[in-house]
Amino acid sequence: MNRQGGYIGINRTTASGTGGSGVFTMDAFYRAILSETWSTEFSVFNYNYMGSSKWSLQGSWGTNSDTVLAQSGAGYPTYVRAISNTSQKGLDASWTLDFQFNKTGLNSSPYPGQHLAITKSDTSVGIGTSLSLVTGDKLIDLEAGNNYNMGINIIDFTGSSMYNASFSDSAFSVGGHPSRVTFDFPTATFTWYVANGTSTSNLVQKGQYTLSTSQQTAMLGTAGRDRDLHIGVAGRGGDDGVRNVVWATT
Amino acid sequence: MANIVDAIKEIGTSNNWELVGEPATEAEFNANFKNHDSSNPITWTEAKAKLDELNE
Repeated sequence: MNRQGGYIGINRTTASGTGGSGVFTMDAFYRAILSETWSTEFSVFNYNYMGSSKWSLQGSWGTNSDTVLAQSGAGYPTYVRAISNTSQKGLDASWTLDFQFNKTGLNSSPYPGQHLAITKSDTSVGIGTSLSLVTGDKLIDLEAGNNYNMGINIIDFTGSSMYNASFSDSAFSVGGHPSRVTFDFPTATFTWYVANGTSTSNLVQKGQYTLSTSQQTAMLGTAGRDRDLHIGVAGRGGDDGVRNVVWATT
Repeated sequence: MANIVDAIKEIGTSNNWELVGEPATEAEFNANFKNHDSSNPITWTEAKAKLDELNE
């Protein structure tokens, strides 16, 4: 048990990146939950309630919604950025990222161009206009574009593209249809799903990539464990963007 | 400067495909590019030409 900060239970320290263990009673656990002193800092990252202090915003809201992240403006030049307020050590555990693109990929002007990215920097230059200008900062870039196109790009910590998948299908690229990316540890496998309906039971696997041995060495060692990861979004303006983002270790 | 991934995205927006890594040669491209849209395949020649065009 690590008692830093008065937490009851396990409190993995940011500095060491290592976990603790302890023995505690269910009664203590229950009371800790009731008093909101139970630390979920490193077990659940739930950004569903957007607009809270969990998000650090740069740019401006397009919709001022509690559940939708979208940018204002007619084009790409402005952007909204959402940063985890803690040290998410994203490649040190299995996790699931759920979200929904907010707009159908209709082939009509203004053409949609919505991105959600996991980045490895919280600097203001980390996300550019279309989330594609600072390749070296991104780990994953998910896109819903024109003509019902959807894609995923997985990039290593040096900026080299490791995996891309892309498809166009009007049954999938619909605003509100769930998308999901999972990272399985320790197999080091990313899997991408998109739904052809409005329920997560409609999810269909659309891509999968397992880090090679050398990539695992480079990304799952100290560099991966100590790497802070963040979520960024960008859209073309108006109601482009994403909604209902939940990023949780699993 | 654009790379081969950018070029494939540019010409393959309406296709269904997967690519591992950033192929620099035709052999690497053929080994790592999976085109799931047989009616509209993307070739190395096409991708390279688009890359040259993007970097002009």
